[in-house]
Amino acid sequence: MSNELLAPFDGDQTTAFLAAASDKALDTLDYGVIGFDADCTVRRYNAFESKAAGLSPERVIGNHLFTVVAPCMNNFLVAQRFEDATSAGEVLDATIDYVLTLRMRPIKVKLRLLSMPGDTLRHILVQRRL
Amino acid sequence: MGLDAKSTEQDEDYQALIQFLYMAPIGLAQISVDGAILMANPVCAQLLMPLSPDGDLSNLFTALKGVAPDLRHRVNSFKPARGMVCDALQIQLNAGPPSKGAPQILSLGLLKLDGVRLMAVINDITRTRRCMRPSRPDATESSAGRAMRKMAFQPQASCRASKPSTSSDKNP
Repeated sequence: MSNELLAPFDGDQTTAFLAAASDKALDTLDYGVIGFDADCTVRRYNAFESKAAGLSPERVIGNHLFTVVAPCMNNFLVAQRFEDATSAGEVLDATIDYVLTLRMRPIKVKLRLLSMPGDTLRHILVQRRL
Repeated sequence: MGLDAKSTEQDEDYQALIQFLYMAPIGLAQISVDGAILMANPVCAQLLMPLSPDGDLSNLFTALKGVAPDLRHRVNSFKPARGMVCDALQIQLNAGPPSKGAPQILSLGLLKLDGVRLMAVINDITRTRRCMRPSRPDATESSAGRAMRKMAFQPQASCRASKPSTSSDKNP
């Protein structure tokens, strides 16, 4: 079974898949995956997102997500929700409509915001809206 | 230099340029004369998305309609072929859901590039304005000084920032 079937964008088991998946497995997904730690430093960045944003993983991994990599998400719609969920020790699993400026073009996307108490990494999944 | 090496160098240069624009601390956008956003950097989306009434960011005039309703008119009535349509126009926001660090005042500049395109520069000047505003009117301030200060800080209109457009909150 392909990883896209195992871990669809809106799947219930996707969080568990992301926690266990290798970098190679993340690269097979047909949506973007950004994994970041408690300091908001990007630790995982899959091939789909890399191609969409025009940046290699080497340029992104190790940088701050909300100030260097994706300042467009640094507002109450995205960054604040992660901060609130982490502070409260609550699960965050929300999907919102958003617009990213990928390669300077406004692109309509769906963002899935995932944060589980106790997990090392939090994730943002990015899927283009049709 | 071989073709592969040149291509790699160009790719590196392109990525460096894109990353530079991604990291720019002010909002930059290229729009058409009818407001359609042709290009935008991340800070532009960061500042405008909470204001966008439909969660869309396809038109600058639409995104700012609630707080700067006269933008379209300003652009349409600007007759020179190029030049500043407005410079550091202050836009007062009245965001609904209180949130830490949310912008309350934006500064907008519009530069007409030619007959079809404009460059927009958007900046969050909330902190700057807070520092400049006295906590209460100075008793020694002249009436002319008060008038000038009032002119310099002219709220445009108010609006509520749109709530997150949540299509399927599984754990709200």
